[in-house]
Amino acid sequence: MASSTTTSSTINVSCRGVTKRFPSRVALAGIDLDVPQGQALAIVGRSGCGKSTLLRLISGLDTPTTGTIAIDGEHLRGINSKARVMFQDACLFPWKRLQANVMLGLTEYALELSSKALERVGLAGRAADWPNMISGGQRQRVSLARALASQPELLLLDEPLGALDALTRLDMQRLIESVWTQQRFTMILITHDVEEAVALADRVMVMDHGRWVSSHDVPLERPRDRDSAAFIDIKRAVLQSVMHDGKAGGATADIQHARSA
Amino acid sequence: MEQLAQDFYQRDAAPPSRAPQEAGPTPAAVSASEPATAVTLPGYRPGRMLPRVLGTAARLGRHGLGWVVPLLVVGVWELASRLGYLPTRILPSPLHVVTVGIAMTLHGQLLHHFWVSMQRALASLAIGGVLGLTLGLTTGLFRGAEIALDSSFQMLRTIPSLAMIPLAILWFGIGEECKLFLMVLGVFFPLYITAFNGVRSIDPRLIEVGRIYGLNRWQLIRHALLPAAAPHLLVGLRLALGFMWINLIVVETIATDSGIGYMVNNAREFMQTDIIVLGICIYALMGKAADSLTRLLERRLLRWNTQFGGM
Repeated sequence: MASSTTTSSTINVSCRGVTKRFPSRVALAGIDLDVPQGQALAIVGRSGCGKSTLLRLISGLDTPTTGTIAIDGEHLRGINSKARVMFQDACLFPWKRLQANVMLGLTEYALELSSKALERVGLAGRAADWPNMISGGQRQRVSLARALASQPELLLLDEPLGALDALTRLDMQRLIESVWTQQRFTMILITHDVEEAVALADRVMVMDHGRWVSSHDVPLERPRDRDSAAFIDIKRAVLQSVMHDGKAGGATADIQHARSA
Repeated sequence: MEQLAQDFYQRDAAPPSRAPQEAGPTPAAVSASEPATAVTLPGYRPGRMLPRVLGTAARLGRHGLGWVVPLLVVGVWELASRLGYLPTRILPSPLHVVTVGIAMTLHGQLLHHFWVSMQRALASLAIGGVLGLTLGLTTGLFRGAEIALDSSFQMLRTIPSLAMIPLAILWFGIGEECKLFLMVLGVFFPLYITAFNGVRSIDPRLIEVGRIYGLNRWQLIRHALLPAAAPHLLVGLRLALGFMWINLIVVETIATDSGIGYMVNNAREFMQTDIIVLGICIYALMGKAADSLTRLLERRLLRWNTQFGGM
């Protein structure tokens, strides 16, 4: 595996010994995670492995059973005000026009910022439309615009492209990558699409049964050539890790690596 | 063509003031050409003029068609009266009823009775509406209020409000208070229940989005919960108006010296079928007017809500 990419010194998201228990199951069994400022991290795993739970904890929507989460060195209490979340469903307010949806939560320069964000996702001309007038892909663009409008430090993406068709998904991946390249916020992407993870992330981490299985750096030039040998190698390694449920050799070393990254 | 494109662009750039449903084929047309055209020519969608015109014509036609059956019934009724199949003592002819209506209006007594009934209706709507809305929204929004109040209201709801007439007379006498009380009951419960259910009907993920985007409690209520409840509330309003008319008619026959109900009851004692039919027609028109008003309100407030329009 390639050596660690150049990481800036500041840690944006830091989880220590985070567990989350629900009455019927353990979703997270002691997770450590450090995400440096400006890194694009992808977390992959089978459904029900706990990846979405972790994202909800980092967003502040839920609280961990034990362990701590710190954002920029500050212990997280309540809603994470530095984070914006994008879900699999666009979750637009159907009674607000697109522009008003993007303005949600903006207090200063709401009109300018929302117009700019809509323009960035290519929907400036639809600002006065209602959410039910546009397609699913466009709705997800608006959702992205809403997340970006306030220029957040941390963008949390919970399988944002899972419900889109293959072509629209490629489009959206390109859009997300170009926005991220421009603005360099910290990004945590939850996905079950290994190719998407390798295409977008600096680092791909594999989770299973609420534990880390492995961590893979992706030291490839952007935009990435999905047919290149290096890309395919990384993709295969991640996929193997996902399929083998962490029984593959070398996993422990990877976990150590993940903690020190 | 160039000018036309320009016009479309201009119109779409400004927030459209008309209902979005009118732009029938838009979503499909746009999603097909997504995303390239969405970026380059945001508002330009060719071929929208004709569907719009046709749509307007069809809508006008539908509204007109809605009147065909009632007019036909009135026509047959008039004819039957004229030909002597319907004795005036049983059912006076429509034209005769209209004449009586005009005469009574000129005399001033019809307007007086009408105004008294309207006052009762508006007062009960105001009181019952405010109570039902506030309590329904409160129990919907706050768990504590729900635990404290909701089961009591659900129990009271099952009592038909007209079953309270004897008690209401004992409590308030036979004056206006008694009538108001019974009509308020009719308005209160539909609004209470729909307000409660409306608030609870919201997609919980929208609340989560609101919280992540930094909305406080009041902003969540204003931007998420109230708009989500609005469609339910308007259904509640229509139900409430229906119950209100029924209760109005009943309480106006209890013991009164004014109001449309009194007028009708009084006419019965003198076998004036024309005035009875006139009163019934006025009730029907008032009910229809109230219903149309709420439909108008629905179209205004729920422009975002595209509904199934029937097959």
